[in-house]
Amino acid sequence: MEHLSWRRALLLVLLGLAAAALVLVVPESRLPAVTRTVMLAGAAMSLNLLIGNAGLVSMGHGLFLGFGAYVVAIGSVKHGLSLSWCIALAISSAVVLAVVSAIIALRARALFFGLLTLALSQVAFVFVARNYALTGGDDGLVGINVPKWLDSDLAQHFVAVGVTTAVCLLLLMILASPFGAILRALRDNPERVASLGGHPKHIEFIAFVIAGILAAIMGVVAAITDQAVEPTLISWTTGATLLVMVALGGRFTFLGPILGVVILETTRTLVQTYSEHSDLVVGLLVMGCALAFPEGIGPSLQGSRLGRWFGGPVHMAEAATPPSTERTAAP
Amino acid sequence: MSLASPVLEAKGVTKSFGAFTAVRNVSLAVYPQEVVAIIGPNGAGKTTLFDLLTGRKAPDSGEVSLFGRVVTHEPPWRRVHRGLGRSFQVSSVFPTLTALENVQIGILLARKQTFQLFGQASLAHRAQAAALLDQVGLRDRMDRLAGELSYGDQRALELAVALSSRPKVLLLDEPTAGMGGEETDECLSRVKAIAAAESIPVLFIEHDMSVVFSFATRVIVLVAGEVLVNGAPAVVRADERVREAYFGESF
Repeated sequence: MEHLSWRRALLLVLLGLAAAALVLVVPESRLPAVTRTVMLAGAAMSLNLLIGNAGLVSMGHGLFLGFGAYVVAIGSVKHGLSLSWCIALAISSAVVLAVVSAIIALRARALFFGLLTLALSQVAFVFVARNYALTGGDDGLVGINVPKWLDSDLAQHFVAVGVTTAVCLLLLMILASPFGAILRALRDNPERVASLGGHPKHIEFIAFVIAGILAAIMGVVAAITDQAVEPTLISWTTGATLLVMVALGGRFTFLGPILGVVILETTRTLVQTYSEHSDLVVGLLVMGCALAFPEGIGPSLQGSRLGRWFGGPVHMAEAATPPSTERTAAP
Repeated sequence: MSLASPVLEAKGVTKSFGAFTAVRNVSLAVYPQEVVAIIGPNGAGKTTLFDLLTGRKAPDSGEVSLFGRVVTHEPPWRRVHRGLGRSFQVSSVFPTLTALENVQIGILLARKQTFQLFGQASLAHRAQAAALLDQVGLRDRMDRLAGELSYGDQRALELAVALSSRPKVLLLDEPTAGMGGEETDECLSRVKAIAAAESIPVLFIEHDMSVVFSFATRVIVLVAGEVLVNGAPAVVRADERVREAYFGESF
């Protein structure tokens, strides 16, 4: 079971402070890319509530990320609403979206659950791309108004770090709670949970809604820090990228998703400066990692000094022995 | 059989899978204080009957009631909250959790604390979980991962988890399957003691005949999906038809 301790919470805060302190070493022109990495880290953490902990492989998590960003952008650019109104609107409508898509996607299991999430995000993408008047179509929306204090790369970076840290702390708390423990028990043996009095669909529903809302919050951060949105954010490629990042970093570790995001995003942005084949390099990196670390990089760090410092204390107990993929069904 | 009303009752339940009828027009009842065994050759429909009683499957026709309430189409989790506890034939503990955590999860689910997003699961109901593990003889192994326990210990843990919901009737699917003679005796005397102490009626499926006759207060023989005999162990043992159905097997 996950343990919640001051030590772990403190470690997360320290990690957040370290991410904030990156402004001291990163050149100014590079800061937006780092901020984006931080935003994606929060989104990947929210996705891993589903993938690693609920065993629900969602391929359409970009839907929520893009939705949060688009509500802010439309409210600000098209209707001239203040940022706080946009944020309130984005989060409250994300609750509705999360509930509706959970009801639809959870009608199916395993592969078809994944395909339904993918379809939902693709429907949203087509809607966004076709409704030029509302969403700016393929061009997206530019010129999101933010208060003066937020109108700098520095402030935006701090906001992204702050929100992502808060999301991580919230997830740590949820994973240590009775709900978190039961969620992982459900992942390992749904039949058994039902025979003990838990309703599998209700539990998965709550997890899906929480993950969706948290992703939408990260989408709001994306809109604020970029001051623009474009439709790829809501498309299935975003969901797939997040999925790859989570798998690469280690879905059975608490901080694994962040590790995956940092490795992939850093590689991509660094290679981009020297070569136009960054996608190829990232693709090869993903292949190499998948072959070398089938459980993701996080778990394999556990024995090392780096692992003890970075991943160790916040790793989930299960990381040492990943659950078998076979579900034992009573005949 | 007592005069009290049954805790668990099936009336004419039938379940078919395509052309094959696994359970045909079966009626049975479990009364307070009883320990009822269901025996029958392989493929007699014992586990299917269990699934109908626990709600994993719905019967094609007939009725299941629990404490006088019709629950024929209720899902398993709802029946748990009415007081039905069940253990599985294949050990289905959570292998990546410790023995203690397995029982803690059971208690949390039974108490409907599933949706508590705050508080620490690892600290919840520790004392009660430890007491249950003590009851099944696992106290000294409660911090071991369930998947690393010996087979017999996993079965004992399975029993503790089934008891974690404080059931008012307990269904055990082959509680001693795969156990050695000594382990079997130990397991059964444990079940017997718990059932007596908490006065929980028990319905169990068993293959081992010696087990059945030393333990059950009543025996139901299921053959080809139908009840062949239903009575006291001595009556069942003497029945010609039962001997025929178990041709070659010694009692």
